[in-house]
Amino acid sequence: MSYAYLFKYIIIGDTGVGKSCLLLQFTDKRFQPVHDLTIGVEFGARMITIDGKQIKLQIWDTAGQESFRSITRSYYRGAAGALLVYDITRRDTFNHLTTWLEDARQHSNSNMVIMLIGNKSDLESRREVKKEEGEAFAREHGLIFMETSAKTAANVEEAFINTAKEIYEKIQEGVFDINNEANGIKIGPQHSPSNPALGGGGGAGGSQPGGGCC
Amino acid sequence: MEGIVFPEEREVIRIKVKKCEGLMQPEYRKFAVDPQITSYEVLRHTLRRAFHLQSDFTISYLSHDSEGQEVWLSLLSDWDLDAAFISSSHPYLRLRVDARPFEDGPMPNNMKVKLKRRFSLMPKSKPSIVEFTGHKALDDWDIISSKDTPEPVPHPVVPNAPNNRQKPSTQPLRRSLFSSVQTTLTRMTQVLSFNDTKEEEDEKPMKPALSDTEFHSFLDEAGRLIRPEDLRLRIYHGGVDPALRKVVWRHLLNVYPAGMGGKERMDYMKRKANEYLKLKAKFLAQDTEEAQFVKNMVKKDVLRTDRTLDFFAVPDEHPNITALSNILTTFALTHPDVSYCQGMSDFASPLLVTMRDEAQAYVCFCALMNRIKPNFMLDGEAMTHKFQHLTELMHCVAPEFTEYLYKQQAEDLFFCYRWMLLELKREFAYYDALRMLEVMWSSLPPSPPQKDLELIDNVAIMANLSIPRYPYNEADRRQKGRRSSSSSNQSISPKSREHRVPNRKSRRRTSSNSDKEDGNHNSMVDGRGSRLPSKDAEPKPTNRTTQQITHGGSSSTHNNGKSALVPNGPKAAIPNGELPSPARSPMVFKKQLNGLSMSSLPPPDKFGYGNPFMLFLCLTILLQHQDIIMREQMDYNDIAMHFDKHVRKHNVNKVLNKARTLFAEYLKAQLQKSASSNGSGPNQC
Repeated sequence: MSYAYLFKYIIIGDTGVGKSCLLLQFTDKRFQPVHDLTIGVEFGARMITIDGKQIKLQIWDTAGQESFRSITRSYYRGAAGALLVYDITRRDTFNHLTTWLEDARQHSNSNMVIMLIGNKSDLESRREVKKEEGEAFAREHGLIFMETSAKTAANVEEAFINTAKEIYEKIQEGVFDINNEANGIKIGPQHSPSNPALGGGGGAGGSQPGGGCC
Repeated sequence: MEGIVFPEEREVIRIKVKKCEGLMQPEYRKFAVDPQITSYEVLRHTLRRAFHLQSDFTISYLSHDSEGQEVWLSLLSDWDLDAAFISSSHPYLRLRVDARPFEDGPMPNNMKVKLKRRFSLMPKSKPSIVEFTGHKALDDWDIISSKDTPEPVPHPVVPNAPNNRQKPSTQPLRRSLFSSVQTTLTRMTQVLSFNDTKEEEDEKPMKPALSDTEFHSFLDEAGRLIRPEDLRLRIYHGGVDPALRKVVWRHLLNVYPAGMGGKERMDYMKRKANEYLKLKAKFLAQDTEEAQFVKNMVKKDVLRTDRTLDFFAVPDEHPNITALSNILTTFALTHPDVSYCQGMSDFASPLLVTMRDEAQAYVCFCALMNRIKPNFMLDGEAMTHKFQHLTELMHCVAPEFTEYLYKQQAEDLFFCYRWMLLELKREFAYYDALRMLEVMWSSLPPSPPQKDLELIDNVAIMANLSIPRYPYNEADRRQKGRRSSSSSNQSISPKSREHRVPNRKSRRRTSSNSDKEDGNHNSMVDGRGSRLPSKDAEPKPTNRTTQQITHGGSSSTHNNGKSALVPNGPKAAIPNGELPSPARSPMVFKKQLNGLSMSSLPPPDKFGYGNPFMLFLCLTILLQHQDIIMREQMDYNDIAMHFDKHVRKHNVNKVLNKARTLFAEYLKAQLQKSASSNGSGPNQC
């Protein structure tokens, strides 16, 4: 299928926070409580529309465990967006965010848009991390933030789409060099490479970044 | 029967059998069996021989219902037999055999004449199975062992081969394959490549699986495995009858030291199982932060391991899940150098499902981990080599496809990561995967433990006592590794490594030569553009390990961001932010690899880090999808997603057949090379 842009995403975060479930909810619109634990990197894709433009999201879902860092790191570089996920019912997964962020910043291109996600918002009764804490962390580090539930699908679409809007806006602002595929952005076949980023002129897509914003 | 049952291992089950056949006088027999090697099929066979049964018959066993009433239950499967052994064999198991010459029920009562006629046709073979003494004291009973099994089976190995090519006399065939390339290859190739044309027929089912009768032909009168290489060869071509896996897998996995008789093996397993139970009790009781970390980690993962399989499709607290968790946790805490890594549960699951016993599965797991542990080391070295070798193999067999992958910047083959890490366990439906695994295991040379299989790495434990590897959590650990990069890791390593290296070498003949060639390692990988296939480049799980684990644990200190997995390998350019442009190094790389022939690939003891056949399985799957990938112009992501969709869906027979054919070609080429160069191995490039 033709698309105006292709954005590459990477999903990162501790093991068991629900990365694969978020991806599945987004690509297949279903929740699978029992699924295989991710080995290395798995892949998903979906088409979305921003500002009337077809955008293909290519998503790399990484394994959370340390032993896979060597392979998952190699996927950072080619990503335009990252979903950094923690589990609101497990404080330790929140505590590790700094490390993840360092890792991501170190191995990715500097313009990568990072969305912080507090997942499992349906488990309110077991919450260990307040929403405000997530917001504060995002503010401090210049991330977008949302709480989601892969189980109920709450905010899942929004998380992926708002990240895309942010990237789209950066393209229009000329921040991304879209001719360099290493940035995780590819111009679709319907676009002329010599005339990039002149999509809607408006940038309506990026105007609502969801939660807090950079 | 609730959940998994872990019977205490008993060496001998005594059995009393009553045979009923129509109006004939019942007959009685007594004998004893080794529950470890007695499958349902073996029992049937034994009974058939004992009573000279020629017609069909049913077996039932005497059990007690909930009110203590005696009740005869049908014995129809290995499951029933296990249940019978466990629940109803004190002081002996009472069986009833109902001969059923015709289809009308177990107790026909008007068949006397016909039956007599049948009996008269019976061969007068002497009852060879056991002493069917009938009236002797129990103490005189014998244990069934190999000598007791039926008529000698014509040698089963590769029946399609010309007779003179694969006589059973080629004994150490496989053993020497990896240790002494030249001599072995000669024989190996003869055997493995005999019928490559036939195996071109993808759809052709495999040869029949190894049956219990056949298996016993590989044992001597004391139950000792006398032709381990032939046994492997046989399984390589046909797999193992599922009912026999429990017994045969322990041989394939190198659980037993060489030369053990049946009784010794039973004692050994019993001893090992006890050893495990003690270790488990001790280590699971630990309440250190590290132990807690491991427990949590394992718990999370066993809940995500093969849960669609009946055995694990049970509530989270079910004993089957707990058993898997216990195995992994005990292993992690008794082997702090590898500890627990995701993916291990995929290896442990088939062992538990097959052994149906936590302790035995643990012993098997330790044996398996001896070989695949490098896959899980943070240094990533084993995986690096596997990727390099697969790339070379692709160049050699499918240059056009490889070129396509280059164009798509997919030549790193990282979408094969799960295949290689888990040795393709997840790529096939569960029971197909068991078949694939046993075939793959049997492609490896026997490598029995020198003395006892070790269930705990004491040296690593000593070395780790004061340095918790998991200070608080994974991320802290990562950070710690980063801050004090080498010191934190080195403090784990030196002693334990030095000790473990010879240890590992003794178990893995495959790495026996590796030290010498240490210095040549880097000749293979020298940046993206100058990678040269080199005969000298091979796995060396030894000296560099210490250095590399540091690298792996703290690679984020490297500003260039080179992946620990592929320190200088193909993908190194990606972390550097330099996606290869078509004009860049790949062309150089390709030039050097083009024209690569099978003979210039690393020898079998090095190829695939000691598991060359696994590479051919990967290659086969890639080739099977080559057309669709190229036709549909799939890019990197499409390819990866395409293969993700095929998880557990590949056709095991097709893949195995094709992989065997390709593997045979490779061995043949290696043979020619070693013959022509007298082992010095010229490098084409």
